[in-house]
Amino acid sequence: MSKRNSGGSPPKAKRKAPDTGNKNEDISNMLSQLSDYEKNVTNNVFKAKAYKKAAHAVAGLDYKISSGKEATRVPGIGKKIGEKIDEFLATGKLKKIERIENDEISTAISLLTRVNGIGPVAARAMVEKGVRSLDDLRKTKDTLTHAQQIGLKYFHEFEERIPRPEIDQYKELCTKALTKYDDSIQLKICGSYRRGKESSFDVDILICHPGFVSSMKNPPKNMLSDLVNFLLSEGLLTDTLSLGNVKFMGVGRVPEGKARRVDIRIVPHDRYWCGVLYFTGSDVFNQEMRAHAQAKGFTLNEYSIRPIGTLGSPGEPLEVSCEEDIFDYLELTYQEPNTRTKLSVT
Amino acid sequence: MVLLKDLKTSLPGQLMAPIKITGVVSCSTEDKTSCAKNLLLSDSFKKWSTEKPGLPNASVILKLESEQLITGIDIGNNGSAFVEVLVANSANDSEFVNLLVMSAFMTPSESRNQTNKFKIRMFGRDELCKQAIDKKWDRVKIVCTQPYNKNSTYGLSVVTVQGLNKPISNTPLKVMDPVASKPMVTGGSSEVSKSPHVKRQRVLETGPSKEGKAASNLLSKLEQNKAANSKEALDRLKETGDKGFNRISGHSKVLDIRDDEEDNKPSTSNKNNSNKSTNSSTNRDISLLLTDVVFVLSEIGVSLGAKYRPDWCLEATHLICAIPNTPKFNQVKGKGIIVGKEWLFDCKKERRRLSETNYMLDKPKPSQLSSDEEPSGKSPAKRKHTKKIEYAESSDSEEDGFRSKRRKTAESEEEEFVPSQTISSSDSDEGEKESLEPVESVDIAANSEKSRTAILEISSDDEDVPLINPVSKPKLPDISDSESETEHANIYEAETDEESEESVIERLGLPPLPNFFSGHRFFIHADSFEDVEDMRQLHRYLVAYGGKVFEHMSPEVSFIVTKSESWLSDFKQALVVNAQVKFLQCSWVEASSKQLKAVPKNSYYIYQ
Repeated sequence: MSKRNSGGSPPKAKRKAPDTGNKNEDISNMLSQLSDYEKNVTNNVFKAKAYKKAAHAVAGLDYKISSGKEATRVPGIGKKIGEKIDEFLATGKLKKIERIENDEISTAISLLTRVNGIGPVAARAMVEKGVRSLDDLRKTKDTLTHAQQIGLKYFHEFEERIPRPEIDQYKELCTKALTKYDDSIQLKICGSYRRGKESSFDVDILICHPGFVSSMKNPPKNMLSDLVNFLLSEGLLTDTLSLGNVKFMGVGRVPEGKARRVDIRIVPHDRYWCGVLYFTGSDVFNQEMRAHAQAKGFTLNEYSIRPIGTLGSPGEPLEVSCEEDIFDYLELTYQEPNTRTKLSVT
Repeated sequence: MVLLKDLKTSLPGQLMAPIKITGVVSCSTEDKTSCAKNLLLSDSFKKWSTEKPGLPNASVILKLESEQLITGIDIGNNGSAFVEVLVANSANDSEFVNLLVMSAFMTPSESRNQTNKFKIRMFGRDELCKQAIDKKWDRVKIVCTQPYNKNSTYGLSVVTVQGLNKPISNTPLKVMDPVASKPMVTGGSSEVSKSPHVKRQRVLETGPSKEGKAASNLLSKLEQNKAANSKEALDRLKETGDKGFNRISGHSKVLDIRDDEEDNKPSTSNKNNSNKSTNSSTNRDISLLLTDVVFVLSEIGVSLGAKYRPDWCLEATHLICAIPNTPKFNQVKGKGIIVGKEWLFDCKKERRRLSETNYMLDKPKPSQLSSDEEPSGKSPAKRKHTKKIEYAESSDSEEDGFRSKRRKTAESEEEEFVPSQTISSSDSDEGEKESLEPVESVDIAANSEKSRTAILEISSDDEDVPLINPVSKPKLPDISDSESETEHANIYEAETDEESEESVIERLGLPPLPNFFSGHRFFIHADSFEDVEDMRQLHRYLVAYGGKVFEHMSPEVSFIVTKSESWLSDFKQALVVNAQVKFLQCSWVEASSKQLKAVPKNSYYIYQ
C-alpha cells in the first residue's frame, strides 16, 4: 500500500514477504531480500520493483519451482532472475546475498532502514557518520527526529506482526470510542486485515465524516487532530509519528497489547468507497485493477473512478455508493476482500 | 433543493440563451428514423440513436448558427452511459477541445435494465472546461458511449447549447409579450426577425406548430377517445391552443381598444405602485423563473431553474406530460399539477412564470367543461397546487413595495378561497370576463366558463399583471412587416383583458401585507432543512414580507438563512462568494413574522 512508500516510512523486509501458503517461500524470500537491497542500499527502484514483482509471482504459484528455466515462464521472471533461482536451488544460497550480508555498510544501511522514520537516504548518511548498529543509533539520539526516536524505541515491537484478534480489538474499541466522539463517523480497518489475513504489520484505519466532502480541498481544520487527541486521551493511541490534515501515523496500544503502528486516514465522505477499495489492497490487486480500468477507458485511484474522454482527459468522478459500484463500472465481477491477492477477470 | 454546493455566480446583466443549432456536420452513426438531424428539432419525441446496438461509441458534430461564447449545455439523454462534449471553431480550423468532460448519464445497472434512459442534465458555466468558456465556437461534437448494454441502441434526445445573449437592456421589451409567444401562433415566427428573442424561442418553434391545422382535423375524428399514441396526444394539445387562437384572431375590435389602453396604462401602474419600474421585471435571468418547481418530465429539456425528478416523489410539484391517462398521469392525478410541455416552453418563451391553468391536462378541456363540472376544478387538490405555486415565486422582482402588494393577493387567495371564487363568477356574470385575467385571455375568450378559474390564477400567477403593461406596449412599433396579422390580434387581445392588480385587491377587500423584509437579500441554506415543506414555508415568509430570495449564492446575498443553530463547515463556501454575508437562524424569520416587523438580528446571528 502507498503508505509503505510514503511519509518517510520505508518498507521493511518482512513486510513485503508474500502471503503465507507459499510453496516457494525460500525463493520469494530471497527475491524480497534482493528487492530490499536494491531499494535501500543501491537506491535502484526499478531493480527493486522487478525483484518485488518476481517475488510475488513466485509466491503465487501453486507448484514448487524446480528450475530457473521453468521459472522464466512465469510472467515477471526473466533470464537474470532465472539464473539466480538456479543458483539458489543448486547451492541453497546466493552469492550476491552473501556478499550483501557480509558487507558492513550494506548491512548497516539495511538495519537502519528498518527503523521507522529512517529512509535509505537518512540511513546512508548515518552509516557514513559511523553508525553501524541500533546501539550506535541510541547514542546519537539527540540528532534523531521525533518519529525516528519512536521508531527506535519500538524497533522490535514494530517488526512483529499483529495477530488478527488484536486488530479485532482495535476495531471494536475504535468503533466504540469514535461513536461516542461523533456518531456520524464511519470507519473501516483496511489493509491485509480486511483481506482476512491472520496477521498484519499495522492497523490501517480509514475514516470518513459527512463534514468532509470532495468539494472541499481539505477536511475542516482540526477534524483529524481533534479526533486523534480524543483517541490519545482514551489511551488507544500513545504516540504520534506524523499528523497532517488527512493522515495520522502513530502508535497505538490496546489493553495488554504491545505498541503497534496505527495509521488513520480521513477520506472525503463521497469518496469513501474508492478509498476503502484502494487501502484494502493488495498492492498487486490494485495495480491490476488500475490497469484494467485504463484498458476499459477509466482512471481509478484512491479518490475516484472517472471515465476518460476521447482526448484523454479524465471525466467527472462517477457516483460510487459501495465497492461493488466500482467493479460494476469496470465490468468486473465483485471480488470479496479476502480474494484480492490478484484481480480475476472473467 | 437549493444547495450551497451549487454556488454559482451569475453574470450580471447578461442572459443565457440557446444558440441556434443550424445543422449536422457529420455523425459516426445514425438510425434511419432516429437520425442525427432530429437533434436540430427540439421535439423530444425525435431522438438520435446509433444505427445498431453494441457500438463502442457514437458521435455527432453540430453546427452552430455563428461562433459564440458557450455558457452552458443542456443534454437530454437517450440511453447513453457517458456523454462528452467537445468544441471547435471552423474559421481557424482549430482542433476539438473539451467543453464538458465525460459525464455520467446512466449507471451500469440502469444501462442494463434500460431505466432512467432519458435523464436530462444541465451544465452551467462552472461545470464546463475552463479553457473552453472564454473562446468562441461554432462546432459542437458530442461523444456518447454505452459499454454496459450491447443490445440497445443509444444516443441523445435533446441538445441545447446555451450562449451569452446581449445584455438584457438592449433586448426589446416586446419579447415579453405573452400572447405573441403562445406556441401555436404561427409556424414561422423564426422568420419574423432575427432579434435575440427569436433565437431564444427556438425550442418553442419546433414540433407542435409544424403540423398545423391538419392536426385538429385528425383530432375531431379522435374526439373523446383516449389518445392512442403520443403524436395524437400532442396534436390534441395543439388543438386547444389553436382553437383559442382562432377565436381571438377574429376579434378585430380588440386592436383598437388596445391603442386606447396604451395611453391609460402609465396612470394605472402609477396607481398600483409609484416606484414600479418596467425594466425591473424583465431584467432577470429566466433560469430562475421556476426555481421552486420540481417536476416529473421524461424527456424535455428545461433551463428555467426547475428541478427534474425521474419519477413522481414527495417534493415534486408538477408533472409535465404529453398524453393524459398514462400510468404516470394517473399516478399523479390529484396529487400534483399535470401540465403539457407547452407550459414550460411558454414560460421559457415569455421569460416569466405563466399560470398552469391553460396547460393543465388533468382537467376537462374547455370544450368538454360544462358549468356543472366547474366546481370539480376547485377540488382540494387543485387548491393545494395553487397554494404551492403562489408563494413559491422566486427571486426576481426588484421592487419590494410592488411585491408585497402582489403577495397580498397571493395570501388572500389561499385563505379566502371561496369568496374570491364568488367574486370572480359574479364578475363574469357582469360580462367583464375579458377584463379579469390578462394571461388567460386566450381561453377566456374562447370559453367563458373558464374565466372563473382564470381569476384564481391572478394570485398564483402573480407575475402576470405587472409584466403585461410595460412589456407589450412597445410591441406595436417594433413589429416587422412580415409579422402575421393574427399575431397582432393576439397581442392586443391580451391587453384588453387586463385589470389592474389594485382593483382586484380592492374588490377582494384585502389588507396589504407589510413588507418589513424589504431590502433583505436572502439565500436559504437548503442543506440544513430536513423537511422540504419547512423550507418552502420559510421561502414563503421571506418573499411574502418583501424579501428577495436568491436561488444561488451570489455576491448580492446579504443573509443566509439556516435551520442550523451553530456554525457549519460549509458556510465557508458562502463566504467565498460574499465575505460580508451574515448567517441567520431561521427562528429570526419566525419571530419577525409573529411581530410583523423585522426584529433585531443580533441574537440570531451565527458566528464562526
